[in-house]
Amino acid sequence: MNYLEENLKRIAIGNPDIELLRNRYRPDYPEIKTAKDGSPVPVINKKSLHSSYNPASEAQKWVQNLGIEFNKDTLYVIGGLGFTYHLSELLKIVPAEQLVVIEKDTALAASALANRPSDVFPQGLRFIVGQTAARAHARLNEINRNNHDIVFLDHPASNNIYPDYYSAIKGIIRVQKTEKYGGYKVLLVSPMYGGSLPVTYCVQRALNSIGHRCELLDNTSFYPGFKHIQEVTTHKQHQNALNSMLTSLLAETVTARAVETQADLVLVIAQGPATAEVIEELRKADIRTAFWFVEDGSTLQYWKGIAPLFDGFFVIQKGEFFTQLKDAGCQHPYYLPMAADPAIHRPLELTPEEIAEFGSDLSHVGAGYHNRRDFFAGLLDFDFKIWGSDWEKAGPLSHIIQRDGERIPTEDTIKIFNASKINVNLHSSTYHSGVNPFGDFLNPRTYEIAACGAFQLVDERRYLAENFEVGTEVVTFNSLQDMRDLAREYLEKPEERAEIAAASRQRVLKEHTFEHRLRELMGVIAGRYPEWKPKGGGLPTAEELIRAAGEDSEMVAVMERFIGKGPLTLEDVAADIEKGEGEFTRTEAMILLLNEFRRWGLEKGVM
Amino acid sequence: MRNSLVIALLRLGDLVQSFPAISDLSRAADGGEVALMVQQDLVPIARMHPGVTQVIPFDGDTLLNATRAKGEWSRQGLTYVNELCDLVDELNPDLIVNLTHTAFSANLCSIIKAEEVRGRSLAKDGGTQLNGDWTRYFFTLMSSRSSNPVNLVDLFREIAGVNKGPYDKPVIPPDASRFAAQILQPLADKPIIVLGIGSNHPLRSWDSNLWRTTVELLLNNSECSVIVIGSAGDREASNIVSDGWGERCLNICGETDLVQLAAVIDRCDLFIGHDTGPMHIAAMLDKPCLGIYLAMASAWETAPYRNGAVSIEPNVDCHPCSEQGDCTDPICHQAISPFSIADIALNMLNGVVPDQRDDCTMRVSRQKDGGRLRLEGSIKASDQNRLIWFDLIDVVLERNNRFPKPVQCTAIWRHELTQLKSEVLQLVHKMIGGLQIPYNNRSNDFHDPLAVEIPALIARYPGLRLLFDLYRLDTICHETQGIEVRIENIVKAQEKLLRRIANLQKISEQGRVSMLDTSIQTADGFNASKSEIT
Repeated sequence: MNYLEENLKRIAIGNPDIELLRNRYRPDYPEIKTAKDGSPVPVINKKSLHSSYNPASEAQKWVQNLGIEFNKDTLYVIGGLGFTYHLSELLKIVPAEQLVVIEKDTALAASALANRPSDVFPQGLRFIVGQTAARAHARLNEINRNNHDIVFLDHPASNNIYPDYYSAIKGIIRVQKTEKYGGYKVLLVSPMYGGSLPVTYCVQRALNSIGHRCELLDNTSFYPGFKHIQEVTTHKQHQNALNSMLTSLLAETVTARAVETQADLVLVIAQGPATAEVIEELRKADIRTAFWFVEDGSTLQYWKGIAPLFDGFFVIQKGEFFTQLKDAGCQHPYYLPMAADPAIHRPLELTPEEIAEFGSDLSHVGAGYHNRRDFFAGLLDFDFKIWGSDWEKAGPLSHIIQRDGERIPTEDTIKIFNASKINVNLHSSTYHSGVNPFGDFLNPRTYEIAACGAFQLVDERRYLAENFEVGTEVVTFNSLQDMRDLAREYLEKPEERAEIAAASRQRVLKEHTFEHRLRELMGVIAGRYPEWKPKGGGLPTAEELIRAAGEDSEMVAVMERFIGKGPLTLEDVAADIEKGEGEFTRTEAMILLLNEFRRWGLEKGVM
Repeated sequence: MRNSLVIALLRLGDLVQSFPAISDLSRAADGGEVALMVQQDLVPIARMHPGVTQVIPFDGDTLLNATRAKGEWSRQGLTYVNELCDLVDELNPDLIVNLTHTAFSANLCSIIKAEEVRGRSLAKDGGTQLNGDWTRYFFTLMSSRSSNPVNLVDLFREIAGVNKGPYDKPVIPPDASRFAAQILQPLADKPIIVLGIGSNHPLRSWDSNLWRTTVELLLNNSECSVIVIGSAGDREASNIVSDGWGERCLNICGETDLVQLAAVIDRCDLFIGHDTGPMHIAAMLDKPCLGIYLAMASAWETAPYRNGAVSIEPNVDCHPCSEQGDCTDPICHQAISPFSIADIALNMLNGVVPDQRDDCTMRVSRQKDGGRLRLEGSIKASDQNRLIWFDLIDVVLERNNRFPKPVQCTAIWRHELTQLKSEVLQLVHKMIGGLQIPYNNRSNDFHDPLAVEIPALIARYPGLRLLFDLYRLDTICHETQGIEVRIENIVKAQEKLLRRIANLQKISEQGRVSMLDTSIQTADGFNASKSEIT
């Protein structure tokens, strides 16, 4: 008997993902075997999701082993739906309203709904199905409006099939718990120059904003030195040798700073310095490492040497690139697409002068890549402005290149996005004319235009549909003719443009901000390394110290200044005492002594 | 009656070198308590000082754990410091002598209330306060170590600031003594030489094979037995030294605790080793010591504090080298020969004062009438600075009873340096005059015109001795060199000396006397950077 329709109806309320399952049911997947006691048991990749003897008794043992002490202020999350035997057992001690089930595999979930009777799906039970780890976590936060403590319960057989997925969610939950208490200390390593530099600053803001302590190791000051090297010699071998020494020097500063600041994680953004020796040293110092390769892996190849060394290597491409990464020894690459920072890319009220300056029917902000030069020549009959550098000044586009091809500062870029009726977002390619038929990842501009609440026509990209709903959030073209037709159509429909633009902005705010990405990145590392805890974890707050001090009025006097400032490190408190005036109290002197001792330990290398 | 607390959070060697200062304080305490705060692992050593009435352990590991940013600073950390200070408060010290140079020890002094602090403490505004001239001296050493002629033991005694007198020998506890007797039983009735082959830095440790050759020479040329001591970390090196000699060479590396080690040393007839804790224990136990000073180690600073102890330094220009410990070609190791060490050792064992040698610099520790330890014996060119300072410190102290404030100090240094310069010039003038009397014109009763003046001058300024030695060579020895060459040599030496004096003058004119860096605020609030040095 097929229970699918009945169950879908039963649990539709409060579970938006469930409706998706209607079309995901496949009678041939997963394979279903019958256990010795007659119960149906799904099998995926030859791995059985429940006992092939007695699933119910296995579930009983599972619950016993969890040793749950039920708490009405806790939200219990099960990682994996399976065929619900463990869920039924858990429902005996936890009410449905306090339970959330996360399942990655939509076809498996549909099969469970089809094969299990409706009494195993009580009303009030929440499901998060078929979402990415980050989205699943975002949904979980929506469900957990009362900020209950979240306890994640592993269903080992499900975890066995999608270990990266469940470990990431578990990690994100764990990391989020630390955010209230000062989070992790992250040393963020910037490149010397280039396109990933703005990304670095967004990452810094995002990490600090979600509650971690991010310090930027800014390498831009080395850029003049780097340029100098390129000018010193034209001999390639010498240049390479000098560049590699510069990289080693920069990488060494990473270790020095990471150890000094007791970092929990060193996060390097694409083009930032990294050497095998330094990563090894960081590992010995119990510091985790991550790299966000916000580049096209097929164009730039430097990932090959470093990808396997990092604890987390995050990329904006999947598929073929994952295979290449695994071949190069990087066992667990993680797909982490670009994002936008809504504090920067935002809707603006523009003055008539600004609209006149920055506005046009069509616009493009970006560098003059080969494919864009060709393509944009076919749009010259539109009111079209091109902003940015590296455009041929003598070519057919010359009269529409703005500001003589200068680089456009971010603040002006935002005005252009806001003022343009249609932002033409053609991803760059050095090899193709016009639209790159193999284009996969999304450029930052896609998210930025959307975050501005601006309308864009974007070329078709393989990953677009999983980031935005095509047609309602963004509109795509696949050829020049297509682009021209759409431009004409949408120039006539200002209301539809506004509606689509607003929807794309909502999507960014909900799923594609740097905060979402960094939460996911931190969660992936935490999921992979269950022992990874903030070194500053357990730092006291002023409130706690005042409570603990009781009658000790000196301690209360010291700590009053820190009320509301969150977790306190010894350095913070000592620095504040040193700034003060008058003679030190005994408590102040003791804190200073401890800090001096800490400094001494650092100096002697015994910390 | 006066209660004192000595804060000596030092390593083994330095702690042992603070013992005479503690004896001085104990005498001055007039029946009061003398508490000694030391690192936890050195408590048993501290207990061996008979003048110490209470040993207060300082648990650095607990504090390190507490400050490793785990939030424990507010719990474990403050609790520990609180308990430590309570313990000291019970003692109610009138005087704190802080022999530790670290900032946190100064903070500790600011928490404990005492009438007087000597050594480093904390000023009311949280800055560094250096109490007393010798503390200031101690703190300027970092930048001028190559000029320092004052032994660390004397420095500690000066900082403690009480009258010097005879100091106590450490007392070996009976059980450690029994342990040593048992270990040494097979070697009974024969002279025992203890070899301390380890040190805190590989550059300061003589090569194991050279030690081995030394052992071979000692065993073949005497009836003595040899005991190789060290920590468990020295085991590998010690096996190279000790293997194959049978019962006459005992290797006890890593088999004793520190007190048992002291007990073994106490039963030996001679200690040979590097500038390390065990060697200073030997010196304090009044054992004949033969110290080998390699790389950064300098006999001027840490020669064994015992009359007659011998220090050997290599005859290489780069010794002593920088504290960085980054030498990649330690030629000083090969510059000292096992034959010299064995020869000197066997002489010492027989109670004979060993002869000077050509292949290394040999010096003998001398301390008279409560004065500061002085090194006698050969003088290296690089000793000039130290010798000049040794004299100037004495001259200034003699005239002023104490170190003057830096501003006066600068004027006095300058005066002394001018004086020294003019005396050098006069001396050279006379020397050259003396040389110009040709040998063949000298009668049998030739009387050197400088015979009286030079010893008197050298008694005041031993730094001039190099100059004098050159002159003496030329006047006494019948060299084949022409008179011009000999005069040229003396003039060269004079120039060198004058250059050195000129340098010192320059420093004093810049308002910075190198040995008393005036940029540091002193106990009485004087800050030389704001002073009116003209």
